[in-house]
Amino acid sequence: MTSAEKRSISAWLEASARIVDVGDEAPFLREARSQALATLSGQSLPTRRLESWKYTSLNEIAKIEWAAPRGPLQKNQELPATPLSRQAGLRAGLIDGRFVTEPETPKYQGARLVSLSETRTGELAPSGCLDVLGQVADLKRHFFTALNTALLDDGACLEIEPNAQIAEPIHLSIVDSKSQTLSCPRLALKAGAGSRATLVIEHLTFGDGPRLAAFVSEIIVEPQAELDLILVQREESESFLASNLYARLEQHGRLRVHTLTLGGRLVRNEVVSELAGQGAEVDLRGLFIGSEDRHIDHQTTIDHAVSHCTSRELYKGVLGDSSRGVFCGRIIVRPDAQKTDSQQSNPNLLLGEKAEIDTQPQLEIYADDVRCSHGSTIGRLDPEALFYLQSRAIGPESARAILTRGFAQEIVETVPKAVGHPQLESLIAGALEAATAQAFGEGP
Amino acid sequence: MPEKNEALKQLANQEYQYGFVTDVEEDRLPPGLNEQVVRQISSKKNEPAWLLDFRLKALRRFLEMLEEKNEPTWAQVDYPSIDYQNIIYYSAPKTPVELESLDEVDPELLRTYEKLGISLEEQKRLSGVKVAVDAVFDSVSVATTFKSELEKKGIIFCSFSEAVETHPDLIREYLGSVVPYSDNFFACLNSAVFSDGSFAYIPKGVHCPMELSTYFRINASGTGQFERTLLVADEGAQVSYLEGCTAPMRDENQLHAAVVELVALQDASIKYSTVQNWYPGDKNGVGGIYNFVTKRGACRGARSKISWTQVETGSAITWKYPSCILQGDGSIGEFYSVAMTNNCQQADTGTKMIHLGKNTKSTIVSKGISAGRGQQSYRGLVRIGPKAEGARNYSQCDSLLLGDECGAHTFPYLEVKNPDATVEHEATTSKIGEDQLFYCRQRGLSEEDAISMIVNGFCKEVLRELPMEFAVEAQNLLSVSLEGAVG
Amino acid sequence: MLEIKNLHANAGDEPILRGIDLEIAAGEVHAVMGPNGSGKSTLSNILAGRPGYSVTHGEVLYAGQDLTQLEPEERAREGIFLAFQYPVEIPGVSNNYFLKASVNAVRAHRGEPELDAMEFLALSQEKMKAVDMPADLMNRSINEGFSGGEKKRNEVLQMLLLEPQLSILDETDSGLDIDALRVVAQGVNSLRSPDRAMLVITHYQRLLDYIVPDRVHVLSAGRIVRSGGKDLALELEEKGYGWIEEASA
Repeated sequence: MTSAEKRSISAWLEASARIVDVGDEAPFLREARSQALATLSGQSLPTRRLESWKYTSLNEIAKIEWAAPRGPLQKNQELPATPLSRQAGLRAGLIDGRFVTEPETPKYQGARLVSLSETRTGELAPSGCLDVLGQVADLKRHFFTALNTALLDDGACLEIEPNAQIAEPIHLSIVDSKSQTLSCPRLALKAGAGSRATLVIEHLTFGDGPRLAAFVSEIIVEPQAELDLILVQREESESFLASNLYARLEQHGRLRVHTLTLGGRLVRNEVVSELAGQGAEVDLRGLFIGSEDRHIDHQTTIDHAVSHCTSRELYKGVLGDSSRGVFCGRIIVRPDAQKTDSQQSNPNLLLGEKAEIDTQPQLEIYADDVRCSHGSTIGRLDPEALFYLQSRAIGPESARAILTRGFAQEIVETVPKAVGHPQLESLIAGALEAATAQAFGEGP
Repeated sequence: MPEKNEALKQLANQEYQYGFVTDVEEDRLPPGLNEQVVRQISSKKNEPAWLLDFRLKALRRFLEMLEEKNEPTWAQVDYPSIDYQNIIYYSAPKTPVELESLDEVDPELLRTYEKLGISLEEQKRLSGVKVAVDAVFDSVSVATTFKSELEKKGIIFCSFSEAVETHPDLIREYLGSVVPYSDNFFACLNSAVFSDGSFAYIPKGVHCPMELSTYFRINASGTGQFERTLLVADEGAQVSYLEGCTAPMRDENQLHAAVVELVALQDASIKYSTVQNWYPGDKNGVGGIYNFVTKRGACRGARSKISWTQVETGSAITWKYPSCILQGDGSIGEFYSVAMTNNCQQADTGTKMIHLGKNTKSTIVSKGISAGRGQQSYRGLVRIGPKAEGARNYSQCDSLLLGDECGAHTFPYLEVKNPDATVEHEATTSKIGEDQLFYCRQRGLSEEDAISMIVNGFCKEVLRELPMEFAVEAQNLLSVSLEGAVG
Repeated sequence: MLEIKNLHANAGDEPILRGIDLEIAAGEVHAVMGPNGSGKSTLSNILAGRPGYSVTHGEVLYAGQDLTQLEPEERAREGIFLAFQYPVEIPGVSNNYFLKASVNAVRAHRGEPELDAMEFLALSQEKMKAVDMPADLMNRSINEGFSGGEKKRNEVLQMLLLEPQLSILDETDSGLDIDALRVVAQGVNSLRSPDRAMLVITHYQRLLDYIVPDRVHVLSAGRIVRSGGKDLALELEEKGYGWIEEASA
């Protein structure tokens, strides 16, 4: 442990104790926190000796002395307005982990998006979220989940009422405003039976200096509910983000997660989805674009716990300069999960001379009546396609740019239209430009 | 499908047909692992000081690893901990130190090999397809055939111990150069106590006129087998090497920790085929061989090629990753594997393809069949180094499941540090096709014949890489091993 | 040869056939027609013993014995042949190897000596000419990469090799162009004889121009709603299935 890391961790543990001292929290929360503290005590940041951190080093994080999240922030914090948030009906934010909403929150049909801090008194939080918080996440396996839980003080609760059909996207912005400070945003989401909704989570940083966010979301998709999640990760180049998302799907529940990683210094995504009810369907789709020496790590687990479930997974990487991408996609088919249908694919474009990708598509299958496949490819742009475009009078730089955009476009296409395709495409185009500037040249 | 279970269960009861024990007088050391044992092994073999030194370094490192509890645990296999102090590290048939001809081989041994279907006498007389055989019985090489014919071409093919005496320079140059003594837990153990094995050297430009082959057999009880194989193909040389393994049925687990090192210099090519049929244990998982093997080849020279083909049907536990280090520009590595686990067998097998040179190419085709309560993992690494411009890899890993208590797992690691590389990996896992079975049965084939036919078809891409004589044996083995596979 | 009495059958758990009576004598060719979902394929699968299909009521007698008690391969050896609507691909197993194994399994059951490789080659070459099949298809994996027409020819080739007593052709015409259809029909017709019977299942009348049936049955909602001579097929072609369904309602 470096001395900075030691100081950070002890500051975090102290902060956790301070929160406990307030003493007014719901018993289940106290339980979760004490478990988290027990897990954390004596631990250092995960090292590359751990199999799941084999390709991602946290040395840079260990070198910085991080302040713990502290104190309530000043009143009247404003929600940032972004091109994506403008598409939304219902909006809120977690600024340095604190729940912020618009001054005048409109009454919204079918959905409630409120602060989780009320859960500390156990009075005001929507009852549905109490079934979710601390129930889906895995403290033991994931350091940053334990860290977030130990420091759990506020967060967002989203409850979609049963059978609510919400066409407009709901938007949650997650902002880290303080330099050299850890933030622990948290989301508990319950998609009620038969409901339909879309949630956009947008990560932003304002100002200079390193940030560290340990974001945890827990989701329960009830029977027949359909939920679309779009994670847009576009922090500044000094930000570290660990985003751990846990979802449990009940009978015929459907969940689609799009993770677009377009920024940040080091981004680690953990997506764990458990197919817990028959007929459930999960579709994980990711696009990660690396430039300079950014590091993007995706760890996904799809756990087929029962029979007759379907999973699809498509993660696409575009890596420029000396950026590095990691994809580890684990698919587990439990002994009783007969009739499982699972497909996973991870194509990557390696564009930078020093770019690197490490990919591990994994199948663990304990049932026999299944159809599972995975595939992974790594390479450059297809020379045939390049030649084809060039033969149609398109210059090589433009041809490469067109093909790279085309490669990324597949991920955008399945995002619900209401989220704002043009807005997403322009964000992606910006990230691609940064990633390909060196590889393709700055233009003719 | 109760009727299917019945049909398959009827076949289940075929015993492991190589499970006989040969009664020969043995020269063995007491169980235990220490410096004295290693010195005794070395002195029994009249080894030079540098080799003893190699062994002792390995022993010290191994004892350290044992102390640090460094026995690998990452593989998807489960077995009770091994007491390394309770294994006999040397057991040899009591025969003259040097065998001048087959006449000196204990006739009981020759009968053993005949039971295995390798008649050394016959091999010698065969004029059509020639296979030069080196047979390793427990820890000692007992006979090598066709030696004089090979010598005319300058090919050296003999037991490892003999090579240490007759070609010490070659051994000293290459031993441990591909698998260093400290490489991993089991390789380290082997480096300390290896007793014998095969050595082959193919000189510059020579194409070996026949298949070279080693048959390994563990016979004595309570022993481990630690053989060491070293194959060197000099510039432009070509060789095809076969390896077969069997062991008697015993209700104890026996340890087999071998090391195989291959070196291919410029334009050389080595084809290494294995049919592994160590005793798998009985259907309740009692007994069987723990097969913890390190196999690695170095394509040192430009345009060199190393091709591994393995058919793994035996052993209680298989832990084995035949690998290629592709150093030479334009060098080629191949890995073709069929692994079958039935009853309580566990296999964690795959390969590593390390691309260092430019325009290096590798192909991985892995076919896993899991039946009964068998657990099977493909574990493979493809690494493309920063200087491996134009490197290419293609991997295909398919698993077939027979029965609802087995498991099939796929753990590929792809690490690419060069943007000019192309890497493709595909994997599928599925149950044997109901529609395929029905189609075959509608044409009058019995269910077990249909399963055997479909499984052999599933493995075709790998089986066709085997030399002809071996392919037939492999197909039969697959059918036999399938028996009792409850669909 | 084949007697079906009040047959009720399920595909999975779903009842499909709801009381079929059908009798086919040696030497006869019967056609079963019907709209999609009427139970045509279920009937052929029940006769061949495909797993997942079960008889819930009624009897199926073949040459006097209860067919439902036999395994699929036993039925095949007894002379029942199903030409599949969707012939199955089996990677890595050559067509030649498969057919030889199949022919010898049937021969062994009949008490005939097994054919060796040379004898089988001679036999298969002769039969392949009859269905106009290119020689290289024998060395390729079973049905793998075959065109729709090649697959159907392969089915008829197998039928010619096995010389079944009762042939069931399940939508053998689907996916065939007119030339292929003619070749396939020729192959089938060459097997017609006083001691063999055939059951031709089809959606369209077209095939019956080439394989002329003795009797035509119309299947609707799991029952035979009408039977007649070969002219019934023409009438159906003209008026559609709606006419018959209405008439029988």
